[in-house]
Amino acid sequence: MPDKRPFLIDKSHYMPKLFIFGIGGTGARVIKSLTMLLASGVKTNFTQIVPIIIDPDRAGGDLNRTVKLLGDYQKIHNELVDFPHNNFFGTPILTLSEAVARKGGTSNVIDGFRFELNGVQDDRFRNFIDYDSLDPNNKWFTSLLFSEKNLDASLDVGFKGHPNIGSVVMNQFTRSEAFGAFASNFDKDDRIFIISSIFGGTGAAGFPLLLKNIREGVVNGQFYDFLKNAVIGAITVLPYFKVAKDDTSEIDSLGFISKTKAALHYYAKNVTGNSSVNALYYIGDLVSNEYTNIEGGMDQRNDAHFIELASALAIVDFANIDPNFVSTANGKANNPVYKEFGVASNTDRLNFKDLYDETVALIRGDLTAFFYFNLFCINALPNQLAHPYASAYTNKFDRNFMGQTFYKTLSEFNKSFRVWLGEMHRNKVSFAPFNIQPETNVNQEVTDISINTPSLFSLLNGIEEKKSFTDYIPGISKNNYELYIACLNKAAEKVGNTSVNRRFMGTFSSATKDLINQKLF
Amino acid sequence: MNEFFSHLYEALYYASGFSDELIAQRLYAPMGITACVSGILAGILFYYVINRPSFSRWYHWASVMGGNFLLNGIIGRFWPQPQLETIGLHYSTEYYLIGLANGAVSSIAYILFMLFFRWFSTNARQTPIPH
Repeated sequence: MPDKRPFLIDKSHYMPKLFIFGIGGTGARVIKSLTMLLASGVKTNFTQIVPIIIDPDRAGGDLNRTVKLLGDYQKIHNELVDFPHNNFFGTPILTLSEAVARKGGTSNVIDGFRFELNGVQDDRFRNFIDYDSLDPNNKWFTSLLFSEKNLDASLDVGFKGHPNIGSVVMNQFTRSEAFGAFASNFDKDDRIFIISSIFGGTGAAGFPLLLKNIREGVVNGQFYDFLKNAVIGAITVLPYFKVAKDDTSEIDSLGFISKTKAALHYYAKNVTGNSSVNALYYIGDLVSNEYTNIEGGMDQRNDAHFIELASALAIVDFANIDPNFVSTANGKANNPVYKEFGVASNTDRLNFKDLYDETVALIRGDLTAFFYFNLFCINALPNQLAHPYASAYTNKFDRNFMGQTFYKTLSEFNKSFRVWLGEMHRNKVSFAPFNIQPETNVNQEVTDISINTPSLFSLLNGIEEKKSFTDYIPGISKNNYELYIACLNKAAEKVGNTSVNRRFMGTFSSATKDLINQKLF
Repeated sequence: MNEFFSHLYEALYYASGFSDELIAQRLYAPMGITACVSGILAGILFYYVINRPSFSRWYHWASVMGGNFLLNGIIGRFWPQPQLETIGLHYSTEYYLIGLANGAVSSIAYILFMLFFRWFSTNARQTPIPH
């Protein structure tokens, strides 16, 4: 009898991938925002996202926060694969090594999500280029391009706003085993997105360099046609913050604008002028917020900013561009597009009402659902474990579940999400869709958020709670966490009995969606 | 039906003469049906009408049962009295005790409803027996 079963194919081999290169601190922060969006349920046309962070500042606070966040995301997502009841953490995020391994390649091309530049740890630029062994003529020529200060610059905290150093050091990536693995793993329908800031050192240098190498299509002596003709998007982040004046620091925000102008002039010829990118996004802001001047290292932990969220939306926008409208031939983009991000109202404190409809449709429901999920987890869950959603099933949500690794990882991710919201809330421009109060420690770092109202559905700035006639009859309608629990009980019935981790996420995801549809949107 | 309920009521409370008159006047059937319907309605009220997370602890369930018991106790106290008095029979304490029995019958219906139909309640399916 013929076997009528469908062919058993590991579909992951055939799913198009979106490779995202996050260069420098801005790259890491934008990827953090993208991770938050994906966790909340924002979807793209790509079913696999492969972030690669390129930053020499291995101790960078922002970088390490993002890397940890991506790792936590993966752990949570891996428990929820192919589970239709759940909308959170739905998109697979892979390391480059995992993407390579899925195609049968060597699985340790880079460790985690960060590409580690060799020769920058505890070393000076002078040693990196082997300056002392150059002959006198080359030394003089090098001196034309690099000052003594440049030559003595320590590389282990990045390029401190010097793209001339960055462009030399970053060349290493394009000759690396990791770049070779990326090139050989790049398939026909895959896409590339590059995130960089234009006013610093690492991103401004790395973006055109990376782009040029991709468009050449030759990596480690081998030609890759798919790579050369890849659909490439990029966002170049214009100045959106300044750093405090510090005479001892090499970073001076007074130079941000002039560096931006110089870089844009270069891009006009070498990026946009030669049609290297299919979609280039520009974003920036009035520079009204000032960060502490930290050259790099673990103390460089800038508050999350709305610009980074909007930049992450550029990735979503790029990923969702219809393949029929983007193509590349002979390494040149056909009909490249250039986009900017705008808000509907010019205000110091943005909420969902201040965004255009397209942005609202993309993020409002998912971010709000994840926000309410967070609120329930921190404010209600520990005391509400006796209700059917938690305890009427074989796999219960109880103190034991809350002590297990999955819930702890989820709690850490959720806390990062709340800190992210709190940081954007207090930044300039402020993104404050929710009526929250950031909580801070003695160093004025955001550690969590709190709410000052018992009225759960009055927490969206600019959005009124939806009310029915029963809401005006005392004792009839369910409100706040009671309504949430009722939605959870109902959702738990739909989700049914499955593993406790899947049941937890599916129940909360479905219930929260139902809740916000009832009361808010 | 009268015979069925007489067994039930007399298992709970039997007084020679008084109980025999209740059978003779066929009062057990309407009282029992009313008590059972009341117990079922109380169950529907708790599990499907109120059906809310903030009213789903065992003592909420017990308070509904207590209210239903009281209601049926009053019904049981006053229902047979005028009918027995019209045929010249006078009792005193017996009416209170049959009231208690009537409340108990209604409570049995409420408990049976709980045992078989609480599973379909969204918010109170574990009340009063947690899993």
